Amino acid sequence: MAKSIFVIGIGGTGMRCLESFIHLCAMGMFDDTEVNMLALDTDKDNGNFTRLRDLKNYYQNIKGGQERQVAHTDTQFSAKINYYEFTPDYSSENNLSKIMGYSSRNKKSFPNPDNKYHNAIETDIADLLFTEDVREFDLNHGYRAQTHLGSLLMYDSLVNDDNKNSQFKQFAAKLIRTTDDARVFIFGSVFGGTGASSIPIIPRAIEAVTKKENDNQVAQALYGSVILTGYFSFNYNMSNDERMREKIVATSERFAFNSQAALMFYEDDASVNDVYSRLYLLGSREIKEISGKNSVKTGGKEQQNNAHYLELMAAFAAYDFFNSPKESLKEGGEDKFYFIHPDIKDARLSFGNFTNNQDFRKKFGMLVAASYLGLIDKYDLYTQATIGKSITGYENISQDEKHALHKYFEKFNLWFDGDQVEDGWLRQLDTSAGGMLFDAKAFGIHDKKSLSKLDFNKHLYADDKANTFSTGLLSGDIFDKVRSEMNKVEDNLNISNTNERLIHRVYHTLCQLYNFK
Amino acid sequence: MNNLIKTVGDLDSAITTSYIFAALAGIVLIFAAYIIANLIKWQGGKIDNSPKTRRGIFFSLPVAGVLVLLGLEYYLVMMRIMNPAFRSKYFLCMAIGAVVLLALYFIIGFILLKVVNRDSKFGSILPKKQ
Repeated sequence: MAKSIFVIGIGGTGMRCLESFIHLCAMGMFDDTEVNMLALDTDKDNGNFTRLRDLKNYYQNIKGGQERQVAHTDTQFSAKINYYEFTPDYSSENNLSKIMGYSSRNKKSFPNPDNKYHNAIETDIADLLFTEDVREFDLNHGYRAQTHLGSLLMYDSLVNDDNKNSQFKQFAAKLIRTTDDARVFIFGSVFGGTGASSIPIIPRAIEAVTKKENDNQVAQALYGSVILTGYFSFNYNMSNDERMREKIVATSERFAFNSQAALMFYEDDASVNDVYSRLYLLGSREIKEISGKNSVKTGGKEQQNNAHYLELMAAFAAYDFFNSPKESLKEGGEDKFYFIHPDIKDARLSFGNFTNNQDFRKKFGMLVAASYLGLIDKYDLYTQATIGKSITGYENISQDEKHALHKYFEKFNLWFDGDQVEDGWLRQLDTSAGGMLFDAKAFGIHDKKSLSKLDFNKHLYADDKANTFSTGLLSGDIFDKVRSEMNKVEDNLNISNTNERLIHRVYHTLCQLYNFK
Repeated sequence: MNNLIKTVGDLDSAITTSYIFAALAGIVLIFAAYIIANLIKWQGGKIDNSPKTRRGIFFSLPVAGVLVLLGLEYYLVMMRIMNPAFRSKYFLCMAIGAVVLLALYFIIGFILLKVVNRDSKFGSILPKKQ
């Protein structure tokens, strides 16, 4: 039976970490695993949230759809992903004042007997923490770095949600049913709003909900998280009128300060240290400013920040957490700290920065190669297989599955908007790290012609030339080599989904060509 | 051209040699077909037309072989025979030789096609079952 793991991504950074996590699943880093993935954000229209949903949909459709997924071993897209999401409903009561029903200005209107939060003394105390702007700003685009507000409201919305079928409750119920070595990993930033607010309170909220909904049963799980400190900045030019209207605006000037405060909190706070078995600290001395087309927005569908290599490292921290021996996660176990700053000369991000790096190197590279095989028209073996004239046995792959695989490769690597190359996750990562992991020639694509000429048989890995295969006049081109090698690889008839059977065969073909077996 | 075929013995010797060449040509051609099929690259993209190309060559080669064999036999042997009766006999030998070439080519060819992997380049000559 597949191992069950649980991941939660909170806020925009959490969404992007979940994206990287899905890409790790696509590489095949989570064999024979059922991933239960909860996406949590206050901003349901957030561009990063939408991007995550799209990626998740492609992944599930590649495997035949959400309900028909099966976990596999030693292939790409091996993990089964069960997806849940939760967004507090701030459509009607959209600020703290309305939700809590209090006003500090007119104490005569207090107490309001219809509202459970009526208490003049508590209001006075709350006034010390919540300024009028904090009480009045619109919550629909997140907590805007107001973590004192966010922790309170997120806990309240999770625990006091009247919807019995909320996906958060379904997620918690699944966790309770996992009796053998249940582990939960939480992604979020500590310098922003939603993630920073929620990381400290999520385990308590899960405990409260499971007790309430499951006859006082409590999920016996080990919790881990990544403390992701500030790694990007942005200029958000706003007119005074706009600033007055928004009341609270998150700006990146405070990210470093917020990170510092958060680190002090996480080091000292007993409630966090009692709950979390392991915390991974990630940060970068280089703070990249994001501007132009991909400029950062503070919320809404326009907030679709590019992927950053630290999010991949965060996802890999989760991989390390799920693969650590149980004893090391219990009381007295080791803490782990990773600190990367690639602006030091010769300190480019490399596979050596990751654990289990030989396996990761192979699987990451093979997914890159597979994506080129799917994206370069003259090599498109996946489409040829579905047509069935020269490659037989895969004709019943559905159009949805085929389309999902192609769209996945685009989001993973690149696509074209007319003649313009649009960067997928991999290329965004490469930009954020100033070059990383793979041969620079693999990223030198600027139009369809340069893509079709790419020699990804020779120019895949940056580090050595052992994992290449040659082509030539007599030995054949890339497609010819792949197709010929594929004939030597057995079709795994134990995989019932035809699309996955094809993916498995192509994966092992590429492994053989690149001398990984 | 100085060595005219005048006696029955000379004619029989020429006929035997022709049959041997026809048989060897059939065997060499089928292996040439196998090598050429493996030199033709698989084509990427939506449709791979390389099996059609291989099929075309598989059926064209024996035809070309027969034409070359007949041409060589005419110029190297027939032109040395003056006796009409001998010519007639050799003409029959040429026809039988062509049949021997084709028979050996297609018999060995189809045995090979049945034995090799259907997904291989040579195997792709046979159309796939839809």
